[in-house]
Amino acid sequence: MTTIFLVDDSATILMSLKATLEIAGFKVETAGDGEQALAKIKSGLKPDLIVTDINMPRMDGIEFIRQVRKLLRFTPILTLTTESQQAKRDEAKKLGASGWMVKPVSGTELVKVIRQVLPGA
Amino acid sequence: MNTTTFLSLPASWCGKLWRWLRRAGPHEALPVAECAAVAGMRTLDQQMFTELGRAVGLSEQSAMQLLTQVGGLRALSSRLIGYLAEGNKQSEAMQDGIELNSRVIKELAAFVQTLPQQIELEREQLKLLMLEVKGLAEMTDTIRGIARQTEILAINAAIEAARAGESGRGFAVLAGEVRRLATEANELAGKVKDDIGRLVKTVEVNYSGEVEARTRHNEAEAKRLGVLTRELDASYVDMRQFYAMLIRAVSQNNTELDRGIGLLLDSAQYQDVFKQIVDRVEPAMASRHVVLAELIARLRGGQRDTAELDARAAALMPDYLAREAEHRDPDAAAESAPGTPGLRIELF
Repeated sequence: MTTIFLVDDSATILMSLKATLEIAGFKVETAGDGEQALAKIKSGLKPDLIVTDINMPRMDGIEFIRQVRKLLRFTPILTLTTESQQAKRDEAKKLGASGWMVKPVSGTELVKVIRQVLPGA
Repeated sequence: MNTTTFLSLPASWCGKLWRWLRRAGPHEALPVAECAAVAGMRTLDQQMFTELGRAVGLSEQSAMQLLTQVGGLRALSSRLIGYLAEGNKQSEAMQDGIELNSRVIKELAAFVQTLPQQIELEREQLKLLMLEVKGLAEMTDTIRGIARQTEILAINAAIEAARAGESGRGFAVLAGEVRRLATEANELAGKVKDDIGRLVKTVEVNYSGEVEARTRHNEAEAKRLGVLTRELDASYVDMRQFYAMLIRAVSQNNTELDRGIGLLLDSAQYQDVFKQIVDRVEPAMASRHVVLAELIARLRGGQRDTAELDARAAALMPDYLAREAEHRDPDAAAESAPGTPGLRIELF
């Protein structure tokens, strides 16, 4: 089963997207910030795709992408944020993010994007 | 207007505050209570943020409960859609079975419809049999006639033998034997005729009547079964159409239900958007406190030149708006607004 790793400091975002993705047939793991997410990956979690927020306490999404790329070089990473700064978008792209999504995103669209990034998922 | 009320005004009003204080007198010292008012305002603001945080927490808690309920509902709805899809598949399989049964029933009806003809044919054959049996009875009459003629011939032969005297004695014995055989044949033919007569009578009275009654009954039953099978076939067609319509309606209904619940789940994301908007008010308010505190301090120190503070106060709102502009409007309608950058979803 395809595993999606959701990283966001908003519990409602995590619950909402987790429910949507599980119904679509994905296995979902969650973390409340970049630091917690990185710890889970260091503990052995190997998701097929990561969806991360940008503005988070302790470790933000940009830093999380930078760190996680050292551990998982080819795992697709999508950002999901209210941020619209082109500089941050460019930085995320430079660090290896696969896409940029602006909150709120519909569950149907999110599933479509995930299947576009992970064909056959 | 008391001092506390005045200090609660937005930072951009600081210039007005200074002009009001200047009109009050250049060397008039501000009372200590007004400094405390800044602190009080900060305390009030902190309390406001505490309350706002509590409100956000409550809304989050409420949203999470809603999500739990809606998530459960959607799981049920999705399962129901799965059941319906399976039911639809079974319906298609059952439809094949119904079509097969319908074909069998039609064949049965066709067979039943041929039964009266078959029974009529059997009745005709029975009549022919009866005629043949009657023909046999007539043949026994002929045999009896021949036997009587033979007996008369034997009597005449005996008379002629007597006339011949001793030489005709052997012929008289032979004539006697012929007469005896003719008499026995006559009696036996009579007995056969009586037996055939009784048999014909029995068949005519019992068997033929029973066959006739059964034939009539079978004809009526065949007609009734024909009507029933046609009605059954029609009811199968009705049931199949109704079932297909029901499945379509329920599937459509539940697909919409699933879509609606999905939208409810999506709407929960607005809680996070709202929280971030509230969070971004805090640094703006903190900047306002800094400017206001400096203003009060300068006024207390008797400084009149607040131009730099005025500029900073004037910049508070643009700075805040600039920070807000770094975040996208969650309203999808804003997508078409001039100057709105990028797409909501962009794959690199």
